[in-house]
Amino acid sequence: MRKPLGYIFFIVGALLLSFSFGRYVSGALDADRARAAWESAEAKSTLALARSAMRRAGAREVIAAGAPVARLVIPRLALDEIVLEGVGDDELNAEPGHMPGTALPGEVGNSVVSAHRDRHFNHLDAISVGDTITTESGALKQTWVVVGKRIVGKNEPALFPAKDPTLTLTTCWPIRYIGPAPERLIVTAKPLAAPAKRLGQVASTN
Amino acid sequence: MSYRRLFQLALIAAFPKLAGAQFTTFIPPRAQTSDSAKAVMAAAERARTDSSVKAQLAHMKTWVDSAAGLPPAPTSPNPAVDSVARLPIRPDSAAPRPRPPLSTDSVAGEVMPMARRDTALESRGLTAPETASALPLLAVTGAGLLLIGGVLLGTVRPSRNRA
Repeated sequence: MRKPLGYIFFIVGALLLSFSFGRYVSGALDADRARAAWESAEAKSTLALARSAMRRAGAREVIAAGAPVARLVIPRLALDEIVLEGVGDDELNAEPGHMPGTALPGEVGNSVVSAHRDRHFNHLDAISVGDTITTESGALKQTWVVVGKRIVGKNEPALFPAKDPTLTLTTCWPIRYIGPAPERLIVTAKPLAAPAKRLGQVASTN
Repeated sequence: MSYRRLFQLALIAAFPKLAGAQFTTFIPPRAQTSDSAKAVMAAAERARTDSSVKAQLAHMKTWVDSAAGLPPAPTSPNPAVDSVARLPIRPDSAAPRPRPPLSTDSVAGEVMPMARRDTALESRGLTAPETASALPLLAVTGAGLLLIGGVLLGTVRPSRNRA
């Protein structure tokens, strides 16, 4: 009896471990692809051109899920990641995700970026009020300062519209928790200064 | 007019470029400086009553309040003097709205007003995205099962075949 039970446990355990490991590996590969796409100057200029044209036409921007939309740098956490559009399983498995329908970092409104606590935001609890965050989105580069950090229930409303540029980072809480975490960590940041043009764009427009 | 002056004028007329090169510096008359004490007092008074300074302070408070999740404070009933129009403005709905921030996010470098873009968020608020991942649980469970399975298989005594 022990032998067949041992085999069953062994096989099921190996399958679960393989699945988890495979998801982590595929997420890392997707993250590499997203970074390569973001660092491609052509992709960036195409994105900026499309956004500018849509804004001129007065159309609401619809960005494809999984497209790289911003770069997020948090020096305190040694975090430098590309933010993908969408907060679905595939996007969050690869990189932090930008919640569709919210402002892009640096634009007027609340920009919501979420990530898993076991991957990109696994040290988000170490961030403190006063720490700085840098984002690049399209042609905007923005430095933020953390002004708030709170924990809410997973069903508690935590994301509100803002009249000024706001950056909100969310992840699950507690960070070290086995199983579906019951709470959310919400970090709010406000811009240190007005968005600055990127150097390349300044040179091209002068 | 003396012969000497006539000779100089003739030289200037004959060699205008050379003559023009001699006039390279212009020293403007010194502007009258205002009394520094009066200037400081005037600047302080202007800062006290200037609506733009008040607006900056109000925005700073709104900024902090919004971060803390507090409702915005009501506007002060005290009239302020607009530094541009030099007219008292009323804190009611007829007062001109502040201009929206300008966007520099444009390939052509043109400046256009930015609208609020968080259209997905409602005033009553939304819950944070579902970032709970089952992968850590699956990994721990898998490792546990693998360990138990290994122990069970390792402790199985081999059957003895009797000849």
